[in-house]
Order: sequence, then C-alpha cells, then structure tokens
Amino acid sequence: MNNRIGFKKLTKMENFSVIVIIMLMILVMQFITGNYISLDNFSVLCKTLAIYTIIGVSQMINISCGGMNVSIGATGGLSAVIAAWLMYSHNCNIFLAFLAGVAVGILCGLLNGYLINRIGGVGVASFLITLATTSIFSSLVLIISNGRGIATVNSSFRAIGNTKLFGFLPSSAFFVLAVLIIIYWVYKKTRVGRQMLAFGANPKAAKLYGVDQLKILLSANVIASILASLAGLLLIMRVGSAQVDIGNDWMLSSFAAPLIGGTRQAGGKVNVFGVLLGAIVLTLISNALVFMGVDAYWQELVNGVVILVIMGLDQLRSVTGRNKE
Amino acid sequence: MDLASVVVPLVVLTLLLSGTTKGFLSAYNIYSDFQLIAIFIIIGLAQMSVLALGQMNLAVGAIGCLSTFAFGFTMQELHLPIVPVILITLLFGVLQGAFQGFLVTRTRINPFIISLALLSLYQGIAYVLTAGAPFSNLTDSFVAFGSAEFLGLPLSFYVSVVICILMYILVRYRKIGKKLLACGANGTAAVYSGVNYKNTALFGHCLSGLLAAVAAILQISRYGSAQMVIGSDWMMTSFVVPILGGTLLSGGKVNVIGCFLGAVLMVVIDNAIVLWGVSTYATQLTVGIILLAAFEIDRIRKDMMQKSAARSAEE
Repeated sequence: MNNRIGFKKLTKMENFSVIVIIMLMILVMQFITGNYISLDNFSVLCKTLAIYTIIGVSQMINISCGGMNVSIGATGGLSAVIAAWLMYSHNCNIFLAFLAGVAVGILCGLLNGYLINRIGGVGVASFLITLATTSIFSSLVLIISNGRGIATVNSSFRAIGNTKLFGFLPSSAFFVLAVLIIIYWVYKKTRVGRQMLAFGANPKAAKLYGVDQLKILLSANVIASILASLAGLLLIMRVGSAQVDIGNDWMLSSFAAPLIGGTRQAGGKVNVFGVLLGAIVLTLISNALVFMGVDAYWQELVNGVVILVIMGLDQLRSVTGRNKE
Repeated sequence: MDLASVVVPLVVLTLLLSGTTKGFLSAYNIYSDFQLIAIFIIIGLAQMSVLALGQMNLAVGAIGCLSTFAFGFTMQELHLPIVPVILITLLFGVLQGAFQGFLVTRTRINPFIISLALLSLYQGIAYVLTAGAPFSNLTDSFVAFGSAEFLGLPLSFYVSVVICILMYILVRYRKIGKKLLACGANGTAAVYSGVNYKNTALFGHCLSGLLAAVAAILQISRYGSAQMVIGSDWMMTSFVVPILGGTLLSGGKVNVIGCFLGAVLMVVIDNAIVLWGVSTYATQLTVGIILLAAFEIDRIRKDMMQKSAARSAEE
C-alpha cells in the first residue's frame, strides 16, 4: 500500500516522464553498442551537453518572462567570432578576449531588450525584434571575419576547453554547474527573478503591482544574451576555431531543452534543473544518430518530431491531470 | 496615406539608382528584378494570410523546400506532365499548411513551437529524401517558361499579379477573408458573432501553405532546377514584405497592395546593394535594419490609428 503511494508520487513528479525516457535511451544505446556507459563516452557527451544546457537556460529566461529570443545563435556566433578575432589579429590576452566576448553578449542583450520594449514588450514583439537583430548580428559575423571565420584560436584558450578534471570531467561541466546554480538562485532568491516570473505570468497585473517593464526586459535579455555568448565561447574553446556558422542550428534546441524540462510555454514558470534533463535528451538523440551513422540531415527531422511528441504528451498529461482533479 | 512609408522610399531609391548607376534601367536588370519581385510578393502573401489571424508561420520556407521536392520528384522521377506536377505541388503545400493549422487549432501546444518544429521537420524530410541534391532534369517547356517574357517582363510576374488580384478579392469581398480578419482583430468577438475560429484559422494556414508552394514553383522556374536551398532564406523576406506594406503584426488588418509594394521595395534595396558595390555581407545587415525601421513605422501607424479612433469616439 505504502509502496503504491510512493510510486504514485514518483509518477506525478514533474520530470518523471523525461527521466524515464532518458534512462530508456541510455539502456537501449548500451544494448546496441555494448560500451555506451563508459567514462570516455561520458566526457564526450558532457561537452555537447554543456552547449545544449547553456543555450537552453538562456532561452528559458526569455520564455519565463513571456518572450523568446531567436537571435540566440547569432549572439553566440558574434561573441565567439569577436573573441577569436581579438586573439588572432590583435594578440589579445585570452582573459580580455573572453571578457570582450561576454561584453558583446551584454550589448546584444541591451539592444534586444530596449527595442522589444519600444515596440510593445509583450506578445510577438520579442520574436520580431530578435528576428531582425539576428540578421544584423550574423551579418556582422561575416563582415568581421570576412566571411571565412577565424581558423585558429589561441592554444591556451583552447586548452581551457579541453582540460579534464580527474581524467573525465571536462571543464565545461563546471561552467554548466555554475550557470545552473546562479540562475536557480536568481529565480528563487532575487527580486528581479521573481519579477520576471510575475511579468511572464501576467504582464498587465505585474505592471499594476509596480514591475517596470523596461527593467524586466533589459535584465532578462542581458542575462540570456550573456549565456548565449558563453555558449559560443565554450564552443570555440572546444573546437579551436570560430566558424561563421556557429549558432545557426541553436534555435530549435534552445526551445526544446527548457520546454522538455518543464518550463511553461507561456511564461511564468521555470524549471532550471529541468533544462539539464531536456538537454540530456537532445544530447542523447544527436549522439545516437552519430552512432547509427545516419546522415546529419536526420538530426533536424528527428528534433522536430521529438519536440512535437514531447510537447503533445505534456499537454495530454496536463489535460488528463486536470480532468481527474 | 497608409502606403506613404513604402511609396516614398521606393520612389527616392528608384530615382537615385537610375541617376547613379547605368545598369539599373537595363532590360536585363529590370527583367531579373521583376522575377525576384514575383517571388517576394508570393512569399509575403503567404506570411500575410497567417499574420491576418495574428499568428505566424515560421515554416513558410520549409514548406517551399518540401514543395520543391514534390515538384522535382514528380517531374523528373515520375515523368508526369506539367499540369499534374503543379497540381500535386500545390496540394503538397496545402497539406503542409493544413497539418500546421490542425496542430495549432486542435492541440494546446504553443503555435510558435509548432511552427518552429515543423520548420525542422519539413526541411529535414526534404533533405533526407534528396540528400540535398537538386532535380535538374526538368521539362524544357517549364524551363522555357522561367525565362519567357511578355512586354519585357517575366511571365512569373504576371502570375504573381493575378494572385495578388485574387488575394485582394478574397480579403475584400469574400466572406472567408472577412472572417480571417475578424479572428485576427478579436478572436473572442469573432466567435461570439458566429465565426468558426478553428476552421477559419485552419483555412489561413492552408492558404499560407498553398502560397508557399506557388512561390516555390516560381523560384524553381527562375533557377531552372529544383534546388533544395529554395526556402532557406525566406523567413526574413516573408515578414519584411507584409510589414513594410502595412499589415498589422497584431492581426486583423492586411494590405495586399502594400504587400506588392513592399516586395518591390525589398528587391530595389537588394538591387541597390549590388549595383552600388556594397559588400554582399551587408545585405543581411540592411534587411535587419529595414525590418527594425518597419517596426518603428508599424508602431507610429498603430499610435495614429488609436488617436484617430479616440478622436472619433469623442465626437
């Protein structure tokens, strides 16, 4: 009897279905390949996971206050290319280059936030503004790097990205952990975090209670864009070059990770650690496709199907849950 | 009055370009500009029919891509004659739009996410089926259509003018067009006045899919082969064209003639960048800035509408 209640509680847990999916996927992969659960594979997965998680958290912040950011990939790409360009063409110190990359993110975020507020702040405003800034940012990437990207990144910069602690834990895992903890803290403990959620849940009510729309949009967009540039910088640390197509394929994944992880589509509710679970699902899928040796083209198709199915199941669950109550 | 924001820059740019460059008024340049205008108009109309509802269709390009596949496959592999090929392609577009409309109206998934996921899905299917390879063995008569002209302008342009007229009639004089706008202006009010919101929204998405397929066919005729890159750069265009032309982003108000002029302006700007020898990397930059400017105009226009409404209410 007691056990059954325990199990019911477990199945009611928010991320229960995602966790089951992840465990099933890992088991299936272990069954197919035989050596899937290994430290080597773990550290390979970690590096991809880091990018998915960070862009997922970045998008989650925008979703939380009722908006979205489609320029996330372009922001990451611009930061990465500017940091790499400073190191390559100007022999800039790696620390300064990193800071410059983050500063680019802050500027992109300020621009997005200000413009979104200017054309209304709610609804489709964030989509339309970031659509426009996407083409501005990605055009700057081409102009700065002359359309060719930056082929080599300072070796000590690259070393940071390829260091492994205890022989298996890549440095990017620490970045991810830090990001998750800080963002969790922002939403749980700080005023601005709570105001973002309030604004996402009901912008009109939040404004009546004294929430400043411009302040919320600026802070959400700046934090989100900093994370986008962090993802771009981590990527060039790992790969060792700044290609012009960095970030081109981030859009769908950035929405998929938080939404799979239980962040509410319409804003007002977040699940910071759920993003990690969503990112694990995406990582396992892309990894499984590589293992099976299918064309890269499949990735997009599968991602599209997976997000529709998971979102659909999620809706079904919430509808049946409500009916039972 | 509404269209001053697109007509003025259009006239100024045209005068500037004819004054400063030799190539602008050459028969070749005009011909290729109008080929592009034809395609841009249809892409803009495809987005417009969903914007009218207050929704958006990110998958316009992806529908174009998969319809391109349908066209190439039926013509090159199945050797069907041109009329069935075109009908099948159009049907394909309608089906893709219908699927999107179905998901948007019958599930509770966020419409934006649906559209985004379908963008990946449709494009993914097209690439998986073709591995990215184009269909280049198209019927001669179809390829000839792509480079045919009448009074110095490409035939595809006349096609798009006819479609514009049909869309104008649909929006202005048909019941379904009015329902579409009513749903966009105020969904709840529309439902209370007896409009079936779900079916109307479904219609809007089907129309969008159909137009995306038309744009794909025109693009194929321009290239002379069914290439899988068709559609990949449509997203910006699809939003810029109707917005420049005075379609309200919040739904409920569209402007077919504005859409037409918006497409012309877009093409002239593209052309100016090439003719003035500005770096091609700056093309995207300019488009982004134009879009931002269009939003600003949209904002001012909405302000004006509200003010004039308030004024007439006072009277």
